Amino acid sequence: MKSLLINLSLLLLLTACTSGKTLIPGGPLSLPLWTSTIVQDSVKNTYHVTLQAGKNQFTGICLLKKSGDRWNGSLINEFGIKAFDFTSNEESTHLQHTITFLDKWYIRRTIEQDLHYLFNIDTKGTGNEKKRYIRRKSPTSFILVNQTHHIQYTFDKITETE
Amino acid sequence: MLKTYLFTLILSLLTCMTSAQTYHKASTAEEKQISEKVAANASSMKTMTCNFEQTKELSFLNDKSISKGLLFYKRPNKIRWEYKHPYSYLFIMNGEKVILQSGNNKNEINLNSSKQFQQISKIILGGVSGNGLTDSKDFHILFFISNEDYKLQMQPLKKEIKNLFTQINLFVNKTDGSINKVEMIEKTGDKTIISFLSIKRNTTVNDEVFAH
Repeated sequence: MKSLLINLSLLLLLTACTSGKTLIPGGPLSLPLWTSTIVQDSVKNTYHVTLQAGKNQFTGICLLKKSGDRWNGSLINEFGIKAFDFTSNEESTHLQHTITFLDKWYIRRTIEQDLHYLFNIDTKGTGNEKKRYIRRKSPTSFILVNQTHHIQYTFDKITETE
Repeated sequence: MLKTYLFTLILSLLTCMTSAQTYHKASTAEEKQISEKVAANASSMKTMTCNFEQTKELSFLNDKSISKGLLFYKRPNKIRWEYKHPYSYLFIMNGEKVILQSGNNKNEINLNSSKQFQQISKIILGGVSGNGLTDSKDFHILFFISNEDYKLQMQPLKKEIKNLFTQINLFVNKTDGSINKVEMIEKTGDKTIISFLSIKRNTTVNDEVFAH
């Protein structure tokens, strides 16, 4: 039921998709994930994000800044409308300024847990846990899979030319 | 040392004075005049093509993100909004149909199925063409005038838009009533500023541009 509600809400985030892919491309993750190729400290890092929940897909832009052991980020759609801000460190991950239709406890909790896993993978995980795992697509892209709720987050780093 | 400091201070002040625009509230007669100008521009504009630059100011990250692309408009309700840099993203509105494409992901939406998307599309159409804006029941509009342009400060009245934006500002060319810049302000204080550049009006735009 919770999965259904999460999927329905994510569907509302943008739109229904014409085709749903279930195959996860990429190879097993060798840690560390957060190398200097994928994130640079203290500067803005930009990623194209595809979020797939069931057969529905949402795309957006994730802007991320790492300062010490703290991560601060924002997820916006291509038009610039913000879905949420987040902050993460070893202890906790929190969503802030969540767009109204995503601002439900079960969605916030799921995304917070997924992001916490992602940003602390190098110190706390293996990248191949029972509930979640990460696959590397290329040196600058990877996929996080939440097996419980069948959600995939694909991060492709965008290198801005200016 | 002091001389350098004073020079920098004066230069900064001069920069502020030249870049900041002072707006005063329009009188009722001026409001009517601005509305008529915007409406006249909208009704005479059959097509529009331009470049756009979108700046997203993120208060949480204390940073900004700039994207650029091309825009095509054809009356009454066709828009192709194509982001070219730093990512490619395509938004096409053709009547009731909206197509969103990011890489290989292509989504098609019927506007009738989503109230929120209907409202967003209305803003996009209105923001580009000026059509149906100044008499819109969806916003409370305040009119302002500066030496350079008009500013229409629009406060959303409908829930679907209030959830996204606290205010939308349109900057209107004083000469022809066209919209040069749209500024969207979110609840968090984040701003999205879209500037329309190298605008070409009423040139031939084929319908194929809006098919995908």
